[in-house]
Amino acid sequence: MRETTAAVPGGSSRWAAAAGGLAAVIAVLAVAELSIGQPMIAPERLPGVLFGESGEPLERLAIHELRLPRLILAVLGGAGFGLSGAILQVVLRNPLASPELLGVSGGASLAMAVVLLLNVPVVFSLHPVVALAGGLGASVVVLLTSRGARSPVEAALTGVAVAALLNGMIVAVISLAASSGAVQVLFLFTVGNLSNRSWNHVELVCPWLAAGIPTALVLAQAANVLQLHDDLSSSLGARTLQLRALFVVLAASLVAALVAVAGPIAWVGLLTPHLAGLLVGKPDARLLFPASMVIGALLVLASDVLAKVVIYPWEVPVGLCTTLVAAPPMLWLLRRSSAGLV
Amino acid sequence: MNEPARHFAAVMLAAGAGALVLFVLHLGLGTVWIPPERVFLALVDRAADPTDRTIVWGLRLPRALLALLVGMMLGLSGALMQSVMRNRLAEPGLTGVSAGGVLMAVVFLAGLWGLPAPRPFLPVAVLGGAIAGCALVLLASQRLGRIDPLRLLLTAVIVNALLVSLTSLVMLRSEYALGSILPWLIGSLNGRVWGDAWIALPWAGLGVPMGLLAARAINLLQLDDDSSRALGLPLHGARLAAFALAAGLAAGALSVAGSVGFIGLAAPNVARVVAGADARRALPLAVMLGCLLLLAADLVAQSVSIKPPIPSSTQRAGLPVGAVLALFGAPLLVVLIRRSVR
Repeated sequence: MRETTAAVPGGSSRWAAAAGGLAAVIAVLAVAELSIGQPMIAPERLPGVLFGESGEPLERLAIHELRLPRLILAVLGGAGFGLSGAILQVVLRNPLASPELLGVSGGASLAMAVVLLLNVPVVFSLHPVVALAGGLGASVVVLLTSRGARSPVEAALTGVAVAALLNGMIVAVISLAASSGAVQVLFLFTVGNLSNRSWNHVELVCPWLAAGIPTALVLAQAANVLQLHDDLSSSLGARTLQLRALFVVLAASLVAALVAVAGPIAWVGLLTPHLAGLLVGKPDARLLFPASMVIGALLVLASDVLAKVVIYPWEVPVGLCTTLVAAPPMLWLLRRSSAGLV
Repeated sequence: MNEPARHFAAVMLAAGAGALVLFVLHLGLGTVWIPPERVFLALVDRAADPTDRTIVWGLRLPRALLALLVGMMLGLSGALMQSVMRNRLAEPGLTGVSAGGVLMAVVFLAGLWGLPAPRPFLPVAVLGGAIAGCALVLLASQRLGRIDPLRLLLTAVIVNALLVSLTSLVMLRSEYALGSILPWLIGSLNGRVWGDAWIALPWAGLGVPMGLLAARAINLLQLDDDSSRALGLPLHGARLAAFALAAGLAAGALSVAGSVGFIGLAAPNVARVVAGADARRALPLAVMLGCLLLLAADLVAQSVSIKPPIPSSTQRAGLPVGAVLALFGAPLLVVLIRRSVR
């Protein structure tokens, strides 16, 4: 049986170095996220504006009402998408499972597009529930369609086909209901975006992640059991089907609220667990889950800083930059992966 | 005539008749419905009502002709790609050809390289992007000179995402120069005029006959490498030429209709099932089915756009034909993925 103890003999200094390095990078990115924008605020003046009374009124407004909630959403979004991807990859035993390739992101976006563009009366606080319903509906379609798939790639490509279908439906809703096919309207529902988000959005997301993240961390050992062969995990007393369904619902609820406020932030959920796996070095969910949260947060934060500078002074949606950041390493991982993947 | 030849002639005749019916319906459909007999009279310049002639010739004929041309080009392009790559899943949208071409189209139209951008040269720029996009996918997915069909598709999905993000960045950078993004990213024929038809015509007029005349060589390419060589085919040259032709056809289509997906997948696969593997039959049938499918899909897009199911919306972008194709194409993709594994 697989070794699942957390302690790595002789590895504690390596762990400390990795954790310290990640924390430093995230801190630098957080400072950049708060400084960059209109108006620019130099990093050395940030503490005064943040904690003191200094700074122009406009600067104080930008920091306290826009950039701070945006920073928090970026971190939470990265953690949520990263953890969701890690859960799906572990419990479905498919290194290509992720919210976007399971239809969760697309289904949630479609549900939001229907609600917002067709003026379905749903109160703001229930938007994540709508997104969750859409995400779960689409993921059930993908899971049922890819049942009996011979390889992870085949299952993932079924998800690609369903994602194309959902994208077509989103475009149909937009082009029939929105007043123009302008870039922004399309991007609202097909690309993740963090600009102009307020504390309301943070408040909407927080309860979902506050419930989902601890649950996932507590259940990590159960997720480990699901990595074993089904016969073996059943003989260990696990009800594999129910347990797997529970984890899929958990993974979908981690991203539902995020899709509702920030759109489908692409590819973070697919790439992050692989990077986390390289970091922790073994497939133990108790290490993989927290590492995925940290790396996901780092990826989204870095992408959001990039989104602010790539065609400065304009901002672009963060989802475009997560794709730019994540696609090259994914291509590399795909090439490097052994025949076992296909 | 022997039995298969008679069967093939009957199929071609039926497809041609179907395309003709759809073409006339397409010309009649719009804000003002014009019955088929009046469409016919207007076409031959014998219309009782001069407005019929104005509507048919001035507004609707360019769009219907484009549906015809683009459908033919994409059907043939997909068929050539599938033969050259010996992969039933190859088509412009799933090999990086469309995404690369559209990126170059947007760069060209936005005038980003500071040179004048005369519209008739658009397909040349698109062709460059198409070849580069496909080369990227092929290089990233080949292992030791061999390409697994599913791995190719997965690589193409990631490369597509990357190229679409870059396209979106260019669109955001110069939105006003380019107008709506929907046609480029999902493919649309809404609001096409004679100028667009003239751009596509030379590419279709040269490319389609060339592709059909090359059917004998394509048959040899479908064999395994040793057999093709033994039969005297210069393998690399023939493969490159067929691929260049496929890219050229796709570039002509992309330049006027954007990234129209699934035609290049559906038409050749259906043609192969109906007419068998012989390219001398499968290629003409793929051309015919391509225009049949695109005319049908555009009819659906058009009729939904006239009478929107959502009464509240006053101004709409109109349903792009690409969205309709995604709804029908995605299930087909799932079936083909299943088949390619068995």
